[in-house]
Amino acid sequence: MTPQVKIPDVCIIGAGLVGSLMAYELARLGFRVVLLEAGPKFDLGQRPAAMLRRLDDGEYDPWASGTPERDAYTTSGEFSYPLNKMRVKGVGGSTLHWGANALRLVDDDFKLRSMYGIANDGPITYRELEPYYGKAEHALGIVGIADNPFASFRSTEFRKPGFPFSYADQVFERGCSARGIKLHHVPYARNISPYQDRPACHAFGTCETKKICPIGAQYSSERHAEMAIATGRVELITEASVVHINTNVAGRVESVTYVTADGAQREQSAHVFVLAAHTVETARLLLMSTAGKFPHGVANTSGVVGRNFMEHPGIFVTGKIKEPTYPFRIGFHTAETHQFINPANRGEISGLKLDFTNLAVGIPADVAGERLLWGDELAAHVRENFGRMVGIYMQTEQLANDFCHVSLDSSVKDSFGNPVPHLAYSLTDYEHNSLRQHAANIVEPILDAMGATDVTKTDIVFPAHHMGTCRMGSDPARSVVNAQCRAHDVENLFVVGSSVFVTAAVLQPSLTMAALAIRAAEFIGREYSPA
Amino acid sequence: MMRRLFLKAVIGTLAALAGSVVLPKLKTVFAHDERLGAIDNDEQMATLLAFGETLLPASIFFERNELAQEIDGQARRMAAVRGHYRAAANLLDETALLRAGRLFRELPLADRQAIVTAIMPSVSPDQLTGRLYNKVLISPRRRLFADVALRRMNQAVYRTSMGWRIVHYGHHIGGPAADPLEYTQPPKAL
Repeated sequence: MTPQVKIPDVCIIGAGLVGSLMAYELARLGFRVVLLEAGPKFDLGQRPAAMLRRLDDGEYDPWASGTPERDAYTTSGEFSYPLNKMRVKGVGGSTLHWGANALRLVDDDFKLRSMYGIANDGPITYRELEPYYGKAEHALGIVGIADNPFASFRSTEFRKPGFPFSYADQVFERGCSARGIKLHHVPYARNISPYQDRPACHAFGTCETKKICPIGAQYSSERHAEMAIATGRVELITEASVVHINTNVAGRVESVTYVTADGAQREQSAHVFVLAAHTVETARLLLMSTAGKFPHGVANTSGVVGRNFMEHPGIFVTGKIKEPTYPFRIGFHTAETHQFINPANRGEISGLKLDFTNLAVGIPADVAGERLLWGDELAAHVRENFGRMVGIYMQTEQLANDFCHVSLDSSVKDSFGNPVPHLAYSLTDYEHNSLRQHAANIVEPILDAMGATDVTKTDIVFPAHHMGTCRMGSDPARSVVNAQCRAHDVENLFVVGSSVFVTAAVLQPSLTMAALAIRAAEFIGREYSPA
Repeated sequence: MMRRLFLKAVIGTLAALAGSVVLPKLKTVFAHDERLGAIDNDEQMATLLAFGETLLPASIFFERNELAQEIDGQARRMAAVRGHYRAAANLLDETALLRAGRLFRELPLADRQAIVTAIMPSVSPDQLTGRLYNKVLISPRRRLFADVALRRMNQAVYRTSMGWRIVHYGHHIGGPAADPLEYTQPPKAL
């Protein structure tokens, strides 16, 4: 008699922030889970060596995996968006290279149409999500100081006080006070003391600029993947690229097909499926999975899958001041202002977040290369000029528009023979004008109040916040998932992550992703029973 | 006096013209040095380390191993750097042998400083007039030494813990801070 192979309760595609967190939460609820991840599991023991190599060689990417053919993509539009530099395929996903900034959206972010006549209202409110923000903060070990007067209400406290202001922040504060601008502390998924078997931060200084923490003080969702496996109910399969979602005639997902590193094709069945492959790959997989009831892709009866791709355009502004600020002694910024994230005229000008950086341009070696001196003369020049550069990073809001989307490019195939994702990306006057006005009216006056000269602005840059391709909504004709992240037209398929965002807002998406993940896991726990 | 100045100007002009022919060829040689990897040999590395030590301010302890790693990293990352450093080491040794009868790395620090001073253009190329002056009267080898090799060596030195100590930092990027909260105040060494 052939032994029965037990079908797991849940199959999760993607072991990034959302997938790993949901695997753990579902395992705690008694569900058996298979967690499929396209990339590898990186070795934490190799992080110190990877950090040193990254310092030595600016082109080295410690999170590179796979091949250019596996991850091929095409782009169009105003920006040739460097997708592969902005994502990681591996256990931990984007939390392997993120800034660990853990911010809650604000109340108005969930109802932009009602409040400002722009974008759309979401099907959930801040109030409904608020308890899950608290749970997410606990899960990720967020530390913070609740001194942000522009934040929406919170029902829980931070588990520990966060990182204090830097010396440079005290300098920034003088410039900001002169302009009536209030600085506040920054919550982080980074240990200030040991937590979850992770050590405290020791200021290696490589987090924001080199995208690597050598000791694991900064949270990555590898931790939750490990915790999930430790429950005994989760099987992690790495280097498993899912290439198709297989549905039956009734429109239920029965299995997914994945390809292993050695090219073998396998099928994974489950009762419930969670798609958490981040914004671009999630949309791509749905679009590729055409069959019977879904000629335009699974869960795409609305035609909305892939549409409404959003990012957070930003500009870095620097200037030179007379007094030293002693930068590069901590690897992340320790002060922000959210004073402008929700302007009264948000229908005309976007929200704006300011990060006051501790890592402005010019390490001592850069200053040393400016002049042809040596010995004591050069040392005097470096001491007089190092640490006088200050920098403010402006992060703004992008509204969803008809152009920005993810589709399939059938003219280019990846290593599995599948059409690659095509990312079309352009900004509108709303974003361009907002960046211009914010720089002129807010940021440059701060630097002016600090006595800065040689003020320079970069071109528009992006922080790798991918959002919006499977938007959430109450109307199945205009959205992909409902308020519980369940696909409108596929009862046993959930899409979870920043792909379901209705608006980009101004603030980092990660904590909201984690909150949605825990909420979705709880919903699945109520709707289904472990086998 | 006037004749001497006139001859100097003529020779300088000829040198500049010849340099404008030779220099691109030298740059071609450097730019097309395809051999990536470490510095040519131990002797050359020893000369380069002596060069780096010479450029340090007096008060800073010389971290030989760190600088060796930094030089090696530069040479591995950029093929042209090997050529620049090779040329610099050769020029230092030639000048040292001519002046003191010994290799550069065998000389005491004060003598090495005198060698570097002798090689460096006397007018700073940071200014336009300095650049014009040097273009006319300084040999391409010395110009490359000053503009490229010395600058690179300074950057190599300042990328190590020596550079951070020069600005009074107790720790630097890539190393742990003894007190992770020291960033809230100016460096203790100040």
